[in-house]
Amino acid sequence: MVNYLKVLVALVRSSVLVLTEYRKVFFINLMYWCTWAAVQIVFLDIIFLNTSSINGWTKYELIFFLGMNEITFSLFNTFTFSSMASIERHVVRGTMDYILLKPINSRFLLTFNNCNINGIFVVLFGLILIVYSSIKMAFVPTFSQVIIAISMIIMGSIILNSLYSMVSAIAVVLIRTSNINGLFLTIATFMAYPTSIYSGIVKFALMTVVPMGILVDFPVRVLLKGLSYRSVLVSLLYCVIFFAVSQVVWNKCMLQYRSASS
Amino acid sequence: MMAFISIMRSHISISLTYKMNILFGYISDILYVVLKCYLWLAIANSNPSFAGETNYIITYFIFVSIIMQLTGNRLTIASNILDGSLSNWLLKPFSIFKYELAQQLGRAVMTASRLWIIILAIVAFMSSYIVIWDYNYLVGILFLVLGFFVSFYIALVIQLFAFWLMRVEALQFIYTMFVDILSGGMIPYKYMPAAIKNIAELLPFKFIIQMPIAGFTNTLSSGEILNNVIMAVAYIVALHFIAAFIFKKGLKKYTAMGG
Repeated sequence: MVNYLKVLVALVRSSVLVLTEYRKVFFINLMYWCTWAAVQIVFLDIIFLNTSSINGWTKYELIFFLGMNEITFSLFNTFTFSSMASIERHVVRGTMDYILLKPINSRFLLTFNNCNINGIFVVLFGLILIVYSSIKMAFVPTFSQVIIAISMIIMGSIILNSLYSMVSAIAVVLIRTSNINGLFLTIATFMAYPTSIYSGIVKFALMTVVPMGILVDFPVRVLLKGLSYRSVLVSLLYCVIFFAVSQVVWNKCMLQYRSASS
Repeated sequence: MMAFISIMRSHISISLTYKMNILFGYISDILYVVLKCYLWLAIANSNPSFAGETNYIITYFIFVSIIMQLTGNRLTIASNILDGSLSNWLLKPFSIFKYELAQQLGRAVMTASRLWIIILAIVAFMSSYIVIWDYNYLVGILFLVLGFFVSFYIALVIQLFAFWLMRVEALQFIYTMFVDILSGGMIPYKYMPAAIKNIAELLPFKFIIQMPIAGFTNTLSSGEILNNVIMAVAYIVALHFIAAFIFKKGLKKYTAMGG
């Protein structure tokens, strides 16, 4: 465990060095986050022109939701997606051999070997949106609510990591998976909106089979809509189940790996 | 010309090799439309200014999803600059611009060939929402082709900034956002605030989504068609020269390692 922590610190440190090396890229990323938030807020402004709520959600509640989505997704993007998205390239080029031969868990290494530290600033951006909307709604969370929200965000990121690990592991079997990445990101977009806008089989799938629907919706509803604290237990249960299943899928898929190198 | 067609055919063959990848592409496209429809149904049902417009909005976003697929692109020149493989292209008797264009045309052909399945699926699930317009296929296709070239050249210019920035992903994201909001991909032009709409009308992004939809749905007068065709061609020519200029300047800065 201590060794893994040391490796994690080393990998994060190396990512920070990369960030400081490409300063222009950092500033362009900063511009991107500002533009993105501005676009989302303009969009909300337009759709709320003649109405005070959409499916029971007010404008500031949706900005709060947006902030929470930013935090959850950027944690996943920073510590999973930016690294694991390269698995297809490793498989095609045969460089996956080097990862599998290292004396460390391959999933751990592929999760953290290329952290996109820029993403941490998006977390700050999400926090700003949450604070801004909270002030506008005159909402002051209690200490226990904050702790619960943080733990649910962490659980949400672990569920996202588990889902994406399964998707990435499939790359080992199918070789070309660029469209699976696209599919995963499309499904992830569903978590950016409250589950109350969905219905039928889509809602069922988002709450159970691919539980993207609960990742942001549950913590926001616990904070703003008085959702029962039992939802924390549901999130925890999902977190444990999906992490265990993803590990089994990962191990099975790695056994299928055929090296492409000489 | 033969080389150009060969590259297109080779790109199509490569795409067809991985059939599961194609299937995932289908599912992703359909889910994108489903998401937009859910979101706009919720908005239309809650906002009185969209009352009675639900079917128009749903049909519009089905169009957006289809047209975005055809005018979109995935260029690789930035990664060639980054990993040094651009050097190979500098030695070949074939322009990398033409290679990228041939690849993207191949991609568009592949996309067009699979779209009918997506359209059938959407019609099957959403038939009660679809508005039947007096379609004008000729003008629609004309603007679709112009939109493809406008989108290609803007993406090319952005990719060429890799000579200076090394990583252009963030620039591409910014561009995608501009396209989303200013092309009508996020909000139909008729619901846009006048200030944003007036700016959007002057920029090239409208050719990527808004103009093909307006062309297909036959909502343009002959004067508007002519003006917009001239404007699109002017943008394409200007962007071509801008890309060539940036490429020339960038090459002076370009360094590649390896034997």
